[in-house]
Amino acid sequence: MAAGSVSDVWGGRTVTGSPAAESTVHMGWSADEAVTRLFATQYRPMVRLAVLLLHDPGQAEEVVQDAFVALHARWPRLRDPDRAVGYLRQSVLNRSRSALRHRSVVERFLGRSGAPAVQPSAEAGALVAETQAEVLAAVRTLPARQREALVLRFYVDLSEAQTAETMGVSAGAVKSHTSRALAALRRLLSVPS
Amino acid sequence: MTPEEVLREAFEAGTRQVPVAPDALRLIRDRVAGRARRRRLRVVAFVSTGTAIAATAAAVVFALAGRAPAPPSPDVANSTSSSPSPSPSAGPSPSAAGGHDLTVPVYYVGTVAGRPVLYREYRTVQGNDDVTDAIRAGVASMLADPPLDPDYTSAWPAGASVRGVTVVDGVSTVDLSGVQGTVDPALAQMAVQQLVWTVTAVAADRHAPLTGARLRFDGAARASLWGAVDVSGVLVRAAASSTQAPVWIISPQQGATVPGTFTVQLDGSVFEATVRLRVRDQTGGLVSDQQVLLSGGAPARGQAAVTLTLPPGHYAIEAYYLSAKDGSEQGLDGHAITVR
Repeated sequence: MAAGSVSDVWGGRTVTGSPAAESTVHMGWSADEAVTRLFATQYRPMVRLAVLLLHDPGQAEEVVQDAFVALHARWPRLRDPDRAVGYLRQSVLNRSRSALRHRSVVERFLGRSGAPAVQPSAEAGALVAETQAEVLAAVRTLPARQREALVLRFYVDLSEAQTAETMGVSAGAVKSHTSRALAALRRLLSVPS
Repeated sequence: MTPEEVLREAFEAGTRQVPVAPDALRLIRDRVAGRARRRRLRVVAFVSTGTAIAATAAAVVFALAGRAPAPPSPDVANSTSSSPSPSPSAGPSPSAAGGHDLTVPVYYVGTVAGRPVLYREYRTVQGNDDVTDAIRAGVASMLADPPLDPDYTSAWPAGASVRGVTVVDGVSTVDLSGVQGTVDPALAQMAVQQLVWTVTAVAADRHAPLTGARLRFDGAARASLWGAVDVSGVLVRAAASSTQAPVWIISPQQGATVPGTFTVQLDGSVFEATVRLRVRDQTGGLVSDQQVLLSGGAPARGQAAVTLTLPPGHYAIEAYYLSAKDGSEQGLDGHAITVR
């Protein structure tokens, strides 16, 4: 990631600003200031990322708030918005993994499957929304690491190397998770010609 | 589109409506300062507003949600689990052995401007939660149960029934029996689409999206049906714009009984997303006629939720749109309801 640019995980667009201004302004941020400023640009994108990983908006916000609280404690060692964004993202991913593990334990304990008792209607929306809902439903069925790779590569728009770093795996593993996930999605979603 | 592009669009669509707590920064600051512990957040924004946008958001978010919150959004619930009026004729489907009440989407054919189009109703049928059995029950209902709304019809000739359903690799094979007679060529294509939309809708509602359906007739494939439609391969949904009705009332359904204040769910694909909702009383007198903005305009489909309050009685609720060309009334879908 280019120094001085704050990556916006929303669609992977970069928040452009003067790199010089960015890099000079933040050096003196206090932890409180860092949280406030990063909240302004990163909170919503991080919630969206967590929603894609967790499929639960309420839980997604909890996870992101936890990540910001942790960021506050971590700031003295980060002192850099780019690194802070990377830290937040990693933190959101790890906390989402924990939440999913906890959820599966709870669901096992309660003796029910992950499937909702009341099914939403994929029929409720426009055709395009319906198709997108189908894509998201298919993504949900993928193994967790494959889903993470897809979300980081194609939603956050990270490179393979950045995805590997965020997930804590090798670039080769990201490559294979991604290609397996895409193959599985093609099988699930392709319309025969 | 490449799979990557499809994914990017789906991710973007799936997160577009994600709300955040208005006081999130304060919560974080309070926790940082040790003034507060983590608070369990439960987003209720999705289920409380009842606006068109919320309806769309709910559709997307509920599709995303690993488990649906309870109680479900009224927007979605009205069109799924708590469909207002179980059909008087929606008894157990022919081959249902055991099972329990399932609510499934079933498509029927109506006519708009002399052209057949599909309308959807939610029907209560007997079946199991298994997607293949839900498809069986949905198709059986489509073939055997008359639609709730007498303005709709099934394009399938009487006597047809379901022998069996399988789902393999995202394609459902539906084996029919007793498919005889002839069907007007203009309607034959729509009959096949009626079945394809029903099968794929039932599966989509159960989070098992299908790419299409195959037809078998008493176990055997056929090249064509009624000499009019190619049914040899995997049949897929035709474009919504050419098959679905321009406007329909999702709920309340025909014949429903509702409380004094209730929500009308509309769905449509119309110019500038503008439909009209009219209420008439028992004598045909006009009670109200209002403009409603759907969440999206043609060629996309949009939805809207309108809350009405009416004194007890029998009413007709009618959704339609005005022709962009000459202002004439088009595409009317009307349901007779009772307000208790």
